[in-house]
Amino acid sequence: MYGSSQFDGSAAAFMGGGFMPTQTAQPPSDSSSFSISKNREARCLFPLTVKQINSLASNDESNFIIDGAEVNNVTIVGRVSHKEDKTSEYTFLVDDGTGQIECTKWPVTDFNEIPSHFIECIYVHFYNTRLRGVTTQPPVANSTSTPLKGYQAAPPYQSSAYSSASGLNNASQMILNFLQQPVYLEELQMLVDNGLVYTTINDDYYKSTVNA
Amino acid sequence: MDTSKPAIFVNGALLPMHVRKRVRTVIQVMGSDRGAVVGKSPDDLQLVVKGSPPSAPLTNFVEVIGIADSEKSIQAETWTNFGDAFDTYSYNQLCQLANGEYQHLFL
Repeated sequence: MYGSSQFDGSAAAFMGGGFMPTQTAQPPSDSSSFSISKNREARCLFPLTVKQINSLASNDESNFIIDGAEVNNVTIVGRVSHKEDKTSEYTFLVDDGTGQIECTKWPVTDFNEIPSHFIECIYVHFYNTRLRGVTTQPPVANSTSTPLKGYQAAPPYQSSAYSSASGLNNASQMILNFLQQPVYLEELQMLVDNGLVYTTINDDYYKSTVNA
Repeated sequence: MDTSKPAIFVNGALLPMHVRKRVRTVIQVMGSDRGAVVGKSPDDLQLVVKGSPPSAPLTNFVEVIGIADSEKSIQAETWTNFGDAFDTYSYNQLCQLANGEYQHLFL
């Protein structure tokens, strides 16, 4: 999937990943008998049959649990059939005798995808934990529509004393937090003095006179 | 990929913080010196990468994963050609985020 020099492809590369030291190479016929690993870490590598995976899909979709352990990475051993080579990915069916499952292998041709993926992980994490939760820090603002003079780039984050308990929704809270930063308060006052924005329901709510 | 041995994203400035640990970075190959590859880190610092490069010629950018054996060198176990065009600015930003407030997502 990522760098042919790292993908060794041999069965040994998938044997437990170091979390199941007692596991030895398993022949396909043994794939239906597996022992519960005592290591309950989420990054444990589970050998499963396709039948077990198919039974997982019909349960809770957000969290795969099998025999009391959370399942994330799995290994399956079977015969490859029905290969389909597309430009961006390579799909195939693996048949292990207990069922068939579709697999996708994405060739990485642009290696910028690798840091991009991790940056997306950070963004989604930030979105889910910061923007959806109690907002204490604003996001980085873009300068496409702001009328502020001399605005070059967003300043570093500053904590806001406001909490979302003031009854504002998340978007408003974000904007409020952004505007509460001292450098923007001065600019905001200038806009008010020039009649470009005005306060509405209270001194913390502003509206533009241009596109109100 | 062996997930039992995580590798920390580093640039030249962060490498000293992770000596004797497994790290990963992308270098721009500048040349070789006494059997080691000399390259430029994502933040434009010089790094030395030791080990056995693959037999195929190295591209302009190479990802290396291995143990940091000094503040400016890595003993690479894995070399992956990343081609001749790579966004080092974004990679450098990722290194800083992955070592900063989002470290818990990586290690």
